[in-house]
Order: sequence, then structure tokens, then C-alpha cells
Amino acid sequence: MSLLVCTNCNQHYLKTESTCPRCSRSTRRSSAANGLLLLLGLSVTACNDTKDTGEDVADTAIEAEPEMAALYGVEEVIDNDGDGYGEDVDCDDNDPNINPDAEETPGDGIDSNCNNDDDT
Amino acid sequence: MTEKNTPRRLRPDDYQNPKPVYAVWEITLRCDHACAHCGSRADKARPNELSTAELIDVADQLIRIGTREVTLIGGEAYLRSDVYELVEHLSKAGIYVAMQSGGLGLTERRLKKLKKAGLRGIGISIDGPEHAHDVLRDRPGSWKMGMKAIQRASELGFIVTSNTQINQLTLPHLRETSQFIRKAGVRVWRVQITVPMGRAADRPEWLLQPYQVLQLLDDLAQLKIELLELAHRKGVNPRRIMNITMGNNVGYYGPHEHLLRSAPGVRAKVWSGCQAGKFTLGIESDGRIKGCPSLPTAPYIGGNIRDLTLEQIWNDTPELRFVRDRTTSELWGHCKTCYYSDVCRAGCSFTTHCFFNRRGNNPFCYFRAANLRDEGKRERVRQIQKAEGIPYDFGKFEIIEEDWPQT
Repeated sequence: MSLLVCTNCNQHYLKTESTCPRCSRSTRRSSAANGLLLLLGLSVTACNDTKDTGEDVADTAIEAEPEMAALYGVEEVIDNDGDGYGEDVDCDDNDPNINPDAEETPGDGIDSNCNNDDDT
Repeated sequence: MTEKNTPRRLRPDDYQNPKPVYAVWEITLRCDHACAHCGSRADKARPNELSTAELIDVADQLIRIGTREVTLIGGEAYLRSDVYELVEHLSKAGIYVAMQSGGLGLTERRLKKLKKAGLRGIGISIDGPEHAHDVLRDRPGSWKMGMKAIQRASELGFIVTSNTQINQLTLPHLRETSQFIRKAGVRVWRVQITVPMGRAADRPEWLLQPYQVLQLLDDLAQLKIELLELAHRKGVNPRRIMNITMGNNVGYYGPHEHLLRSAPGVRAKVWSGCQAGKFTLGIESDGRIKGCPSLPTAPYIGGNIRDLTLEQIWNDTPELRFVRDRTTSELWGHCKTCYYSDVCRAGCSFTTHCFFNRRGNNPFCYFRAANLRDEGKRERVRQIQKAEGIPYDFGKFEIIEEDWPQT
């Protein structure tokens, strides 16, 4: 089920409705991007719809994805090679000798410290 | 950033054929703590816990049914000498295995053996600063040992997470707690509200009051924003700093919902209802099966693995199927008429049942508390029936609506 984020009060509203349940604003008329979501770097879908008002609309659709027993564990970070760096930051998550804090050997053709450079 | 298929991320087939993608498995009730807020009243092993052969059989059933991630809990899971065999068995089948612990006995030797067996993640519960933690854990020195375990596990290459129970002892110390666990190496900090199940039901004065959810989530959101800004300033991935997130009984639908429920850089998430018995499973150490590890035993056990197969319990018992089969008709109180009733379904089933002896109405909700505050009102809970004193038991509370005190 998709929800949209009201850019006025940051409250969620059902996609099928156009009024925010918290601030009662007609939520599809804002032009402000959602700063918090941008800061988070989240993958979201922006609804750009100008047919009603002629203004840019930047309400953000969020899928109400089922979240499983988030009492434990790590929902999103997997560390395949067991070097303590998850696949999100490890540029080779199948080699424990490669991670952002690994020692770089310049000129060996391998970016060991994940800085996109062999540091030659 | 490309999103990868992590074990818990649901795939199209999961929606069509719900399966216990994620299982939390209490393999023993034996514990080196006897925490004053422990929901299972863990201390000694149950007299009839599953044997090693039975553990392996259950593991095989989990593998067959499609489970992709298992978290081992207790008691203390590491107190079973066959835990390494179990971890290895699950891990070799491609299951992501993690362990949740108080950390007291997580020695370097144990951690190395667990890592060799294939354990990937460790969660160490830290309930606020030392004085609060040691009171809640009913053991002086517990905090120091837990913090040492975080450091040790982190140095050995585990992804370390930490859970913190939020109650009257820990709520005032959120900032301090986030700082010291981050410095110790925690990658994900998850908070959850203490629920009156087990021994926590014997200490109602420790429990959060519903209106305090506003303060809790406002403070957590501020802390998370500060961490994101810190990562931005340093030019590093926010996940290398620390992610702050909420357990299932914290929320719902306030202005910080997606901020606090999502990990940086991946799909934004909001609460979408209890998933017990739909995609999750809880196993008690004597083989009893329920839809979520936190659910109280008596009303939610679908059967015992010694009597029925996992598939039979999952597919056929109403205790496991309740989320799959229910409608909004079970809602009552404010939740019945709430804007989010269809998607939320009154939040965490475990929490509501332990407070009110039934699901369907949850005052521990940001949206509800904020609306009441606008009207000059707030809700309190008061215990009207004590718990009987057995694992996973609960008493009963009533909700009192009152004027918000004048400041």
C-alpha cells in the first residue's frame, strides 16, 4: 500500500486521498522537496503532477513495505565476506582483504580500500 | 545505489505464498542473566528443550519451507554447547544466521567459534547507561560486559547491532546511549518499548506512558538527523556512522515515521502492520511455534514441532494465521476509527495483547498521541491485573484519558 508524505507537516496520507489527516492541507499542491528524505538518500518516487494547479508537486510516495520482526538483526546490511563491512560500503564483499579500511598496496591493480583508486 | 536482495527483503513469490522468511529461535531458556524486565522470565533451561537431533530437524524444516534468515535467542543461545553445530547447519544451507545476546559470556573464544561456524551478525542489548542497564538486567557489571562484547564482536568482524529497551529508566538517556554505543562499534541501534510481559509485568512503574512516545520519537529523530548530517559533512556513507531505527512496537505514522523506520540509501519504509505468522516465525526452546518470538505463549502457540510438522503449523493453525486472515473488525477504541486503521491494524500485536489482553487498540502511537495533545488530552495506562509468573505471561492494563497537565 502506498502512502504519500505531506510536504507541509511530513505526515503520511493514503495515495487514494488528497488531504493530509494531520494538517488537513490539500497535499498535492506543494512544491517543496522533502528535505529529510533527501538527507536519508532514500529511494522514493516523486509524484510530479501539474494538471491541477500548474505548480510543481513533490509529494513523495512511500511503499508501506512489510517489515519483519525488526526486534532483532540487521534488515538491510549484509556482510558476505565477514570482514565487518557490509555490501553497502564494501567494494568487494566477497574478499575480506578488501574494505574501506584495508591497507592499500599501490600499483597492484587492486583498489583494496574502496576509494576508487589503486593509489599508484 | 543498487538495492540487493537481502534475506528479509520480500520477493514477489513471498506475497503470493506467505512463508516464514525470517525466524527467531529461542534455543534455550537458560540464561546467565535473570533480567528484571525479561519477557520470557529466562533463567533456567526448560525441562523439555529440543535435543540436538531435534534442533537439526527443525532447521531442515525451516530450510525446506523457505526461511532465509534466522536469529538465535535465549535465554542465552551461546549457553547450548550444540549452538555451533546448529549455526553451521543453517549457514551451510545459505541461511543468514545472527544471534541476539546480553553479551555477558560472549568471550573471544566463543565468538571465534561462532564466526567459524558461520554466524554473521551479533546483537548485543544495551539498556541505556550503566546505572539503568544494571538495574534492568539485575546484575552489577552487566553493562561493562555487554559493552566489551560489542567491542570484541566488532573487532572480530561481526556486524554488531544493539537493542535498547525504552522505559522510565532509559528514556532520559537517549543521546548519551546513542553516543557510547556508536563509539563502541554498533552499526544499527534499535529501540523498542518495554512491554509488560514476563518480569516486566511485575514492574509497571517502569513502563512508558503512551504520551511519552511523542518525546521518544522527537528525540530519536533529532539524533538520527544529527548522524546523517555528520555523515554528510564527513563525506561517508551514513551506515558507516550508525543507523537508528525503531522496533515494531514503536511508531506510528508521525512525522518521523519514514526517517526512523528506514535505513539510509534504500527504499523508504513505513509501518505496514504486524507480520507475525505472515512472514515471520517464533520458536520456543521446547518446540512450540508462534508467529513472532515476542508474542505471549498462551494465546499464540499454533502447535509443537514434536506433534506436527512446521508446514502443518504454518499453514493450518489459526494462531499462526491470524494476520493472514484477520480484518479490521478486531480493532477497537481510537484505532477503530483511525485514518490508518487498514494499513496499521493497531501496531504491534504483542504489545497490545500484553497490555490489554486482546489486540486491536494501541495507545502507544505518535499519530494518536499528537492528535490528543492538540485537543489538550493524553492517555495513561494503569495495571489492573498482575501476571501469574510464568514465561511469556502478561497481566492487564486499562487506558485512562485525561487532560494534558498545564505547564
